[in-house]
Amino acid sequence: MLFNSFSFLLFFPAVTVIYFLLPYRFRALWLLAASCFFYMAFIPVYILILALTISVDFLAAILMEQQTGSKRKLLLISSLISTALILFAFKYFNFFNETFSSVAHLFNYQVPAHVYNIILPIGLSFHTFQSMAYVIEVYRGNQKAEKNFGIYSLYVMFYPQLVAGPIERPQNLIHQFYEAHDFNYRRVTDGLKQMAWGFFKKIVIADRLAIYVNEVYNHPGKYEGVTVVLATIFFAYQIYCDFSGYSDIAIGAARVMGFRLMKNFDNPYSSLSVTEFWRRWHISLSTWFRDYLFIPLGGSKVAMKKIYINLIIVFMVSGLWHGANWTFLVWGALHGFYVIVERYFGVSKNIITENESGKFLKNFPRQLLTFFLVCFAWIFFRSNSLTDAFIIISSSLHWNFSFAALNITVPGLLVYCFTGIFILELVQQLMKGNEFFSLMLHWPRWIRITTYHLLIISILAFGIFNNTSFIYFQF
Amino acid sequence: MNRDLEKFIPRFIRFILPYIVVAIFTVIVFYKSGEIFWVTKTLEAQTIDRRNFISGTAYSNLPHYFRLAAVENCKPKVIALGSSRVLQFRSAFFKDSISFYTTGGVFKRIEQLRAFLESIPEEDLPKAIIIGLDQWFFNSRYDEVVSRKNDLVYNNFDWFDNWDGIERWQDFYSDCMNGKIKWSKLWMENDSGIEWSGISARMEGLGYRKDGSRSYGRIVSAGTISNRIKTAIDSVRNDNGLFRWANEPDNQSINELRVLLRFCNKHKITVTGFIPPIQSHVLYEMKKNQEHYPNFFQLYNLLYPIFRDYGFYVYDFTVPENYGSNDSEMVDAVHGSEKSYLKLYLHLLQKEGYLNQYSDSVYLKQRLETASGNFDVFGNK
Repeated sequence: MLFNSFSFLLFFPAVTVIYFLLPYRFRALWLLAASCFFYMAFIPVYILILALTISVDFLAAILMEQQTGSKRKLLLISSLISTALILFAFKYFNFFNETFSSVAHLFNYQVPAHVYNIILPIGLSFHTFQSMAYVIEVYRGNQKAEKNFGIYSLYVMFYPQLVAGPIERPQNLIHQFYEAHDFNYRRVTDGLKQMAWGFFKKIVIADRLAIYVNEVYNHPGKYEGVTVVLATIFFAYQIYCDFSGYSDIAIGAARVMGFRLMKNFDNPYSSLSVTEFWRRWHISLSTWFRDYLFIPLGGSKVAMKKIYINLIIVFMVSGLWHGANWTFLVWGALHGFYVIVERYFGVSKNIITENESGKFLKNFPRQLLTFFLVCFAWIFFRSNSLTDAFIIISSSLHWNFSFAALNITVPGLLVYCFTGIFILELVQQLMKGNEFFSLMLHWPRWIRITTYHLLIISILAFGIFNNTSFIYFQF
Repeated sequence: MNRDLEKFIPRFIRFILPYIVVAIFTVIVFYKSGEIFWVTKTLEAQTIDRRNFISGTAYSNLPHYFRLAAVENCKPKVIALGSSRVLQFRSAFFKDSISFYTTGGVFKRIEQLRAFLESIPEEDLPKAIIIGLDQWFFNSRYDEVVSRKNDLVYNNFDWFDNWDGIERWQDFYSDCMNGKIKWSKLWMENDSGIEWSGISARMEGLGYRKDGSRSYGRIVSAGTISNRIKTAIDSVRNDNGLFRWANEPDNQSINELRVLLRFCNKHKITVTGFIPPIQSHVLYEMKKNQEHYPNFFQLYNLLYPIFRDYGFYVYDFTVPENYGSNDSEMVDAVHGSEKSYLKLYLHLLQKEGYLNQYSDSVYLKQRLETASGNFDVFGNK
């Protein structure tokens, strides 16, 4: 079930109303049932895969807690391997098969690549990483093994964040399922507002930008110069609005019911460096990689050369996490390269403090440079293949400016796109450093209500309602 | 009750009430005008009650399973199978005792036609099929226009089958503001003995009749025809749309055609194939660019032996003059009118003797001679 679908418009209020009507002791069970229904709206049988990973990790954690030493480690490794195997089978098998076949071909060996037509279970990478986080935390002793199978299942399957995160840590989420959440006016309305803003970002901005971006990126070589550059900038905003819009809806929906999910985005395009960008972009994933891959590899406490190697490994794995394609691998490697260069020149130190100091003229050139580097990497992320990416890069260098060349697809689209980006930036500037919409609480009531109505009317009037999937659903 | 909840409920209701009112009003308008409908009810009206019920939605396409359900309902002996280029065949072309249904308007690839035919229960299979073979079905770059994925599912009857249109309510209100929608017509029950269902049908007379054929209503005018022809010529020149340039025929579609013909042969269904007409100015432009269409002008030679392999025949009607029609009987660049198709069918009756058991050629010729305009022969009744 997509958040931007008619089904969700019925599902969410129904689930929430019944949630608050039920006695506390039945609420977790109700949420689990609703989450199963939510997941099964995609491909019902795939819930068995989820059931398998949940069961394995649940048991592994309980056994792990009872063991010490090598047995404990063995249980951790078995659990991680079994979860990773499912991820590999569905997501990476074809990619590795084709790569192996190509490599063999280079050495004159004919190894046919058997490609299987498997539909990727929705949000597989998200919930496998969430499961992995749980077993690792139990192994480290930071989290007690959950004894209630239903609660653990709900931790993995909690429907707002089931298919595209935020990838939660067990310490933050599991205990919340035991808490009694009363109906709280401020919390519920804040959650609804955050959801509305998420819908605006997705349906009004991202889906509108997608029309322009898809036209250019699905026809590499057809457009050149400023049109291609603009499409890349639009993609930067499209993916941000698409994914952060999803996160806002997820966090808002959870908040309505009384749950606090972690912040996933923090105005990433205002970053002064790529290192800072990764502290503001997809925070739940970047901290996952920091905690469970970068630090175990040695973190920053090893020789500089080893740190660089670790960074490139982490970013390439992060690229692969997004998809089994060379384009994602190159995207990850590019970001790794950027971060290494920044570390080498000491750019990454105290970066957030500098950014918050509010020196616009000093910060702006660095923000622009960071945005350019991130956009360049987005070319690989969005292109359908590496060849397409290189065509896009070379055609963007044919600089032949004309306003007419910019006007592609439907008339008036550019006006929509620029207005959407302008509103986004304006709201982000207004909200800087504040909780969502909390700044508005100081405004007169009639202005607030009018603003909320304008937001809803804009979604209804300018939104695209054709059930466009969220980009990150494919991961 | 929790004090916060007491505060929230009235405020929330006050906030969302205007939106709920507008939403309910929109659903009522869509339902009353027939823009959203139950497939079974429409089929009952058209194929069981045989009422003059024209269904034409403006904001959604006909659900693909509509055609299958219609065939299962009226069990026609003859069907026309193909894209929108078989929608001009009428049940009036056939003797009263012979039921006919045209399944056009929803299929866009050979594999979809094959899948549709295989989905018909064996006892409901027709005795004869007239199949329209659009030139682009066999273009290797047709994938860029219509994906090869055969995503037509036939067991998909929802409680509100044709609900899709409601998602385009923005277009509906925009059309209202532009004056394209006349409110008085939205509520009209019937007009001159015809029940109109759906906004296109009510506003423009555009929709599907009970025999599956298409009423073009008021959308066909000299202006719209010349605009569409101009667009098609631009597509030929610019390698666009249905007229994409391709050097190779699409072998997968040819194999699909073989599978379809083998299926018909096995089930003793007689098949007559035809390549539908194209307006002469568009054809002229294609000939000027024929280096980009090496297979287009050889399509008949490619398909003929395939049809013969299964004991069937195929006819090339790309040039309307070849069957006695002309440009004035085309409703756009690639669609002939009902009159054009009656001429085409009379031509088939001469060539394919078996079709005479289903049709009375003398009567059809009489009707053709007495037809007044260039487009319609039998009207909507």
